[in-house]
Amino acid sequence: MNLGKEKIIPILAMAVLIIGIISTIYVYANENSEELTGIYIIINGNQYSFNELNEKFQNITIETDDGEKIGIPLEKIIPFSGIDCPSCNKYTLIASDPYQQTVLWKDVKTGVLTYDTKYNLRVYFPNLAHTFWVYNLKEIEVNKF
Amino acid sequence: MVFGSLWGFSECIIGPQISEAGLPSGTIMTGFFALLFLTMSRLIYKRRGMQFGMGLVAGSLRYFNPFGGCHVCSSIAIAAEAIIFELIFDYLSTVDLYKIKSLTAKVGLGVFSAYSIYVGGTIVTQVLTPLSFGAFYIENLLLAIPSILADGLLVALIGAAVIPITMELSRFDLKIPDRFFYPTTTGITALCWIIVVGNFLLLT
Repeated sequence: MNLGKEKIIPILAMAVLIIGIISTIYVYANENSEELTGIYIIINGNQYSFNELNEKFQNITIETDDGEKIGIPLEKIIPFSGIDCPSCNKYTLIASDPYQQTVLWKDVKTGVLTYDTKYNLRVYFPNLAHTFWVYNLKEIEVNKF
Repeated sequence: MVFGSLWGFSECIIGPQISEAGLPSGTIMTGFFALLFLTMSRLIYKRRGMQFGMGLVAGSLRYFNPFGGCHVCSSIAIAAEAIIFELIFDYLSTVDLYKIKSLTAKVGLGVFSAYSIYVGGTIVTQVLTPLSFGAFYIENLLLAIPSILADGLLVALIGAAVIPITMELSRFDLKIPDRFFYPTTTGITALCWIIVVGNFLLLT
């Protein structure tokens, strides 16, 4: 093996370790662990408790490639948050870490909002990749096209 | 085929079990299983391009389990990881990994390759998966980058152990005698696919 390369490898390793450590510190320092990450969610700027939504809307079951998921239909929640024209907007699902994905109404209306102790608040969509199944959900931001 | 099938089998059968146990499955699958199979195949067969083929086989197995299901993210990540492995190992080492002598270099190769494979594979997935659904937004990717870079740290630490250990273990003569080679590899490959497909049929 080229001796030059054998010397470069540990330097590259150190570099990625430093990047990893700094990123870990940054993520933990910026993680939003306020009370809203529990069973509260902000939708279109309004705060709701999961229990409130759960009592107001009947749960539905959707079939996903990861089995059946039971939750509150997003199709009901979004208009409830004061949106008159759901199809006129795109919806950004924001987690507490802060991972986020943006989806359209045609997908939102097929999804459900669930709560469990492992993933906290989480959305599931039957026709979208798991990338869009955002967990530790804290906000659904509504933006006009 | 055989290493790709073993990798795909791990992703389909072992990965979900690790996730069910509450452990970070993506991290362990890349840091341990992916790196183990990729490195072993490179050590034993010393062929460029083979690992990319493994990624395609493993990605296909992941995609077709369950059939028609939406496991596109994992499939893309697996194929991307294989390509990144090829690029790193082609640039940083010779085809014959046994020529790497120092432990520092072996550990360093493990750290750098594991981290790069995980981070690269995840970023490619975070771009291609939303793109394939017509929902890619650059701001979403940029916000996810610090988390991806942070998650890679654990993968790097696993890789630091996996590559040196795999290299040491592979010094033993693991080659299958010629007359048993095709029956054995065909059998293992078929078994992996049968278990994955059978698991899907049982669960649906």
